[in-house]
Amino acid sequence: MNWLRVTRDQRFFYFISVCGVAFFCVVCLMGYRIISASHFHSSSDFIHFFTSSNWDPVKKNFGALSFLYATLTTSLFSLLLAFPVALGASLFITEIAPRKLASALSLCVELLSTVPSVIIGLWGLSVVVPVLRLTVQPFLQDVFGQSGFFAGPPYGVGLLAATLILAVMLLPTLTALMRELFKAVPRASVEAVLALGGTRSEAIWIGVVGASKRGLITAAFLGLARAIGETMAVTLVIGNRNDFDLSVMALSQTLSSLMASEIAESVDTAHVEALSRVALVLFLLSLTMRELSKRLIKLTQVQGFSFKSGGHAK
Amino acid sequence: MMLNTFRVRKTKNIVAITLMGVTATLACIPIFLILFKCLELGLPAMTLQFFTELPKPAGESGGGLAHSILGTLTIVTLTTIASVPVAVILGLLTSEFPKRKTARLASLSLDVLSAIPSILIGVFIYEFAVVAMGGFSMLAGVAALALIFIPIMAKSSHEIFSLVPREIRESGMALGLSRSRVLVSILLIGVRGGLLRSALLCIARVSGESAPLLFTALNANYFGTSLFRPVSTLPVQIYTFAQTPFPAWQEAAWAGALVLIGISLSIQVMVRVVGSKV
Repeated sequence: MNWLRVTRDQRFFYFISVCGVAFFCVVCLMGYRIISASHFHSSSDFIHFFTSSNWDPVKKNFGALSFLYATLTTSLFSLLLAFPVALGASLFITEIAPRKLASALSLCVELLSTVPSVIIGLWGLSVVVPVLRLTVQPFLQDVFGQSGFFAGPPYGVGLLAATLILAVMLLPTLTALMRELFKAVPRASVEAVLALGGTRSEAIWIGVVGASKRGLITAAFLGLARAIGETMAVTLVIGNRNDFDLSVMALSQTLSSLMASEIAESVDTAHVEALSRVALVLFLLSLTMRELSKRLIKLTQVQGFSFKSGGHAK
Repeated sequence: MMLNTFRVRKTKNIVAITLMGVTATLACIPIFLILFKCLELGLPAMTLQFFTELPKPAGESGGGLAHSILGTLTIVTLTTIASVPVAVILGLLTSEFPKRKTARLASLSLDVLSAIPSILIGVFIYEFAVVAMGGFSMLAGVAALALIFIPIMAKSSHEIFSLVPREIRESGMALGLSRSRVLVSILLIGVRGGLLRSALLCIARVSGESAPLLFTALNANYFGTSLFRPVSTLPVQIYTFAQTPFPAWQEAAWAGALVLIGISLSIQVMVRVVGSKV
């Protein structure tokens, strides 16, 4: 190509392309760093990492089972807690509340998402944890007995506190996603149910929730991804103990809180390597969630499109 | 029988709607609890000392978080200066040339970066910059925050650019302008209000980020003036103080939390003001 004949447009495009490619290289480098820093020496090494719950930097024994358990339980249960509340709240905001009330309510929920996660952790540590320690956990042990999932002394901090805090943090995310979803539902599908003699709640349930089922699943996946990666608030309230314990009372450690509390102190290579493996697991987990929700979004778009073009609602 | 089922359905309706109302109230409660606690514990600690002094040693009362406030302001300013141009360029690339390969690569990397948890960005910068440069530094913190700032702002500027109607571009072309001239002088200037707004929202977001700063900028007990030394920031300082048993430090953490929330709320207000004016 003759560079003298390159037009100004082409030069402009090359310039911004260079920026784009440079950025892509940074991200590739990032993936490469995380993968190369965490290589497994043998297959037994690999199995040990996922099946052992013994994490001991001093003896160079690194098994991540307890962190996986804590990450998955806290994020799943926080999703279970937050999902119904967010569903009800977003339905109330989009379908039932009068406009002024709706905008006030959604402002309240949105503001929560602007609060930095470390502040929610601080609040959890000084408000939620004492309540758990003094009333909720003793009450749970009275009801369910002190064994299995409720064994151990009530510290306040631990899996239960982390789950509750995560649920609070998921609320605004899920509510915002669901509000977008419900707003996009064509009015005709609600009106159809009403015209058939359905009550208002039936119209909402069949017309709005029924029409956005796939979207709701997508929202759940996005929420799960958010919960898995959440670090600071969890680190403050989970108790930071590296042992495996089934009990919800137990002090524990998630993948992300482990990194937050140990990376700055890791000096020997084996420890750094093990932490990089934890980072890799977290990396892959969040990318999988992202990919799953993306596939689902594509499916919903196809569904929404066919619905609209078939219905001629507008 | 029919009357009965109708009654059942009616009751169900009322119960369902009440439940929705209850959940909506429930969803609004946490923000008030958090704001109230911040005001209750943070306001008394907000003295002049808090804004002008360094923290006192553990156990002593008094002292402030001047270095963290200054650190947050510095690091966020530097991040903004570094990221806004890159983010706008990436937004322009992905929205104006969506079919080009480079644009696809860029939007793929933006997707990946915005999907992964912010602590991983910290890990990356730690392994890449901190270990390589031989120590924690403000520069590493800026790099970590920029990697959070860029994908968010690039995505929102992508949205902003794609909302501009085709006709505006076409009328620029019809006047005989080159495509790059249209993009820079018409598109970019035309949406500057929207870009400013999204930059402000990103600033609010990154000023509260602590996970990526934990092991990049670390923390310090002095005023951070050098790019190559650790610097204290409000979120990390709050995190550190929250874990200590000393009342004076915990009070300082709450006052810091109030300052952070104040920053993010005032940005929200600014965004609304800018939105109505530009």
